[in-house]
Amino acid sequence: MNERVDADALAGRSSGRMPPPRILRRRYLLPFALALPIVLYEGLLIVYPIVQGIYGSFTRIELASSAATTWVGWDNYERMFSDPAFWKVIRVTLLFTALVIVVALTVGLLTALLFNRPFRFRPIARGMLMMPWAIPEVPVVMIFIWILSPQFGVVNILARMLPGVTQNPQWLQVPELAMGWMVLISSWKAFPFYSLVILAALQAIPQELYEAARVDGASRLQLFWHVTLPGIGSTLELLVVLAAIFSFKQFTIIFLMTGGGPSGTTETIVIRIFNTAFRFYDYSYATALGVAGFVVSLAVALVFILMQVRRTQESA
Amino acid sequence: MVAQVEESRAATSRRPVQRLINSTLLYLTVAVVSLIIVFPVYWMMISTFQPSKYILHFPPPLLPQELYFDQFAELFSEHPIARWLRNSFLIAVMTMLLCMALSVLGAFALSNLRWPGRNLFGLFLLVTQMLPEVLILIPLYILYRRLNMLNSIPSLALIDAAFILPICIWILKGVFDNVPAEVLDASVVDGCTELGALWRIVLPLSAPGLAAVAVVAFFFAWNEYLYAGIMLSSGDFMPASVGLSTLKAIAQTPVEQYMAAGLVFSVLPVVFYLAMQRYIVSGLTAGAVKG
Amino acid sequence: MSDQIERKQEQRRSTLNRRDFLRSASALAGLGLLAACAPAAQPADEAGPDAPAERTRVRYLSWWFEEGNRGETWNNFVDEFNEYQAEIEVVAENIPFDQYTTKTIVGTQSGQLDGDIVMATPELAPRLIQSDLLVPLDDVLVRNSITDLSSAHDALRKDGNLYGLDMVTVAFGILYNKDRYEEADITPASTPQEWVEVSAALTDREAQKYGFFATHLVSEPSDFWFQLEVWCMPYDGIWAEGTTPLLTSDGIIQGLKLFKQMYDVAMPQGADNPTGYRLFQNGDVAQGLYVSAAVGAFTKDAPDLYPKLRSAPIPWETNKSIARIHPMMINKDSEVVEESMEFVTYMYKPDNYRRMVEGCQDVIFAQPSAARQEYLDGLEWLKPGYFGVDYVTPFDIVGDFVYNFNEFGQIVITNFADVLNAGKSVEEAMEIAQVQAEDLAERIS
Repeated sequence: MNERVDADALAGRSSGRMPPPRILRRRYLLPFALALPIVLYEGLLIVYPIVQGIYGSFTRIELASSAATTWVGWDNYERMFSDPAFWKVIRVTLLFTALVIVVALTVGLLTALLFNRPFRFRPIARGMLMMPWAIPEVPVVMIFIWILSPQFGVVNILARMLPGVTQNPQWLQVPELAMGWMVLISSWKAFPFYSLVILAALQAIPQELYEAARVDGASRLQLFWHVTLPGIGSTLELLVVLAAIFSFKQFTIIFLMTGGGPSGTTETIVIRIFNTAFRFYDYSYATALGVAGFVVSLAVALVFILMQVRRTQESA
Repeated sequence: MVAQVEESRAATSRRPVQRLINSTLLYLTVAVVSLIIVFPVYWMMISTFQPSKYILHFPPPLLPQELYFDQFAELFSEHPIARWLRNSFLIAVMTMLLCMALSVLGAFALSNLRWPGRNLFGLFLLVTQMLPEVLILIPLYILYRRLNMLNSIPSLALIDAAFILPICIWILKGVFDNVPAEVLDASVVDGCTELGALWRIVLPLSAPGLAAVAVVAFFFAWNEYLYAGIMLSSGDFMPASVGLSTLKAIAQTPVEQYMAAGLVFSVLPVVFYLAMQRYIVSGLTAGAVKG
Repeated sequence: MSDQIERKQEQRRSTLNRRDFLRSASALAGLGLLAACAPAAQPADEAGPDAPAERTRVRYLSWWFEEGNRGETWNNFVDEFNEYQAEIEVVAENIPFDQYTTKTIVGTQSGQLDGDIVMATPELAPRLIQSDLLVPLDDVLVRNSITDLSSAHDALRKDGNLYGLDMVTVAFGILYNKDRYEEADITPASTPQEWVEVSAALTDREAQKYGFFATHLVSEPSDFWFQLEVWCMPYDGIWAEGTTPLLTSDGIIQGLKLFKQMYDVAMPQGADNPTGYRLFQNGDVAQGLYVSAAVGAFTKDAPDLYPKLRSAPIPWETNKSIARIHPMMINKDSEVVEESMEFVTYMYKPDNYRRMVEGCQDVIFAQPSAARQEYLDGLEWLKPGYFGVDYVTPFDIVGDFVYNFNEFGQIVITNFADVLNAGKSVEEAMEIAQVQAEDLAERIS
């Protein structure tokens, strides 16, 4: 029975969505013409600077100094791999990214499921739900610094209710707490977008699938597992990649709230890069760090693209 | 819709009491979730509209004790807030229009057309997103100086659009994917060119998807402050994001005035979002499938 | 705060606002209009020569044009200069302090600084001078016949040429709220240990009263290091000599232990800089290490507090404190070097210079003969803490690390934060810091 639902779902999805029209496959010139301006545009403003950055990582460039740029080969990379701080930064970055993906997507999924149900005031509730996404990052930081202030922060009222807490905790000075808050705040800011996209995907699942499954006597959990989840699977995949990229690049919140501290426990690679380049003037080492980060996220993207390719081939 | 069906089923198979419990639980969950999500925003309001003696106090009162509005007058008279907002608006709108135009082309190529470079193109777009923005600051600055493009609002919008365009294309691709292949096939059989099909079939069906792209691009450009601060040195062009960090740097700015600035800075994107909200959800949805 | 009358003086700016407001309202009118607006905004950028204006534009970049009385003073001087002569128009361009360093560094890396006249921080100045991006300013002294330029300028010389002229020297001192001292019946301390006792006596954590505040968060690295730097003074230590870090030396360890003691008994723990500043404004914090340049700002921000401010004598034997100079410089690649020089010369005319320093309520004169006794006597907070103190520069206490000031500082504060929050001992933390600083030394030498 379950297999049947599953098969239906897959069949429904593949017939209802993907394959591009046959006739459009004939002409090859058009897609290139469409993509070309974009490739040129991105090429000039993004890829060309990236290439320069990669080149820079093989040189020694000290910012704001009279020293000439010199070619140093793999020196920056050797230094990086033997630098214990680098490995710590990588660990912190991966931990932060993973936690934000899990928290933001889970909250996004749950709120999407919740807000997909009909209830009175739903439009208002949805509007409020999306608020964090609309508020720019700097004000977000302002609010949370204020909420978490050990002197005046409102969150301390809650904390004081816990047994054994007699003093306002220093939320951002204790390693575990600081990381926790960075993840929560970043997720709070990001989840509405994920929630929206998931909500959209949910509404695209054909109702017939649910009805068919129900006729077969599937329980709610089974419905979710065999109809809903496969229905939004490709969306979730894309969101994992987007969430990975976004949180990997998260700068403002961490930089302004903890500056990477305490003891470097929230120092992600972007913070490190910024400090190295613009506070420590060590530009070429910063680019080497950037390239390392680039390689890691490229790996993530490749996995995603491979999944997409496989999916397209399956459906074709 | 899912739930509707479930509810109707519940109505027939379960007793009314259980229904009542179910809907109470639903409302309760919604209330709690909304409260947690909205509380920080509420707290920003509280901190803005009260005299600072209430907020510079622990424990702070949870409900507003006294409302106070002078901070806005002070803020606007001491800093060129209106000019900052206008600049942000210009930057954000230009970025938005550029992204909308280009993402339609990109998404059509990525979604509805089948061609050998397709996956590579998709990967290329993702790759552009992978180096932290800070790192290409210096090469871009040098490039802009050579092209004599520094200190201009449209040139900054070009950079912002370049950063967010790939995400926009991927979002719009998701929407275009939902346009049924048969509809496109039929139109081409009827003598439509591919571009004609894009214009007459795909776009109308995905118009709300463009709304989503618009919001994403607008928010990004509204938010951006690193490049805005470096590429625009003239105060005449300073956007609100940079202005706000100016206020932050001046430690003396009174709390409620500082919070008021944050609020003023947040209002436009929130209003913009609320105006577009209706379209966005359906935009990201396969409204097209049914249409 | 709201009832300040001084704000009325801002007429010039607020009329501008109204006009701007209308402009932005019209911009909001519609997207169609926007398309028309865009090229209009494209501007008149730095390509000065082809602008039809008959005046030569000189762009003056700094972070302080929005900064209370300092901003006002400088804006007024720019206006004054533009009226005083008819050939040159100086344009003040404000860049937020956060971004100022980044922007300047990006400029240097691109081989050309932005702006014609630029201000520099004490950290940026030595690097800019090293990079050969500046014009010598000795001529300004000749034109104004200045012979008594402060010796702090020695750090701004290279190959005998002078590349920067100090526009504000900030010096650290202990500033306190007189009422709080009187309430607690306390007299200023004369030794470091007494200072801790005084601060403890002024603290009542339950009532949210604190004896002392200093920035101590790694999220505010520049401010944290900027203030922590001073704590080598109480026990006459230095952070480094040449390229040798001295983080485990006795003077440093003792000094940091003193900070830790203060943190334990007297500070609002975990408070960020703005919070600390507000607590001081309210009178909830009794004293702080404030730079002289910040005191003037209280006239505007906290007019009630200002008359109560006094400085305590430096409570350590050496009577030493740190002074940091912020020089004005001219970009070598500017197309209007001569015109820029005119403005710098104007600002350094002894009389103008004096009015500028007084307008900003600064107290350290780079041209000592320009100081006016009546002005100094009028500042109740000046003596004894900011007067007759033996000033040293960052060069004297961090050695060659002055060129890598932030990175060196980051090492110190990151490890020291572990003492404050993670229960490490000062010795342990500085042991690690010393090793990291030695690595840094090896890399940069």
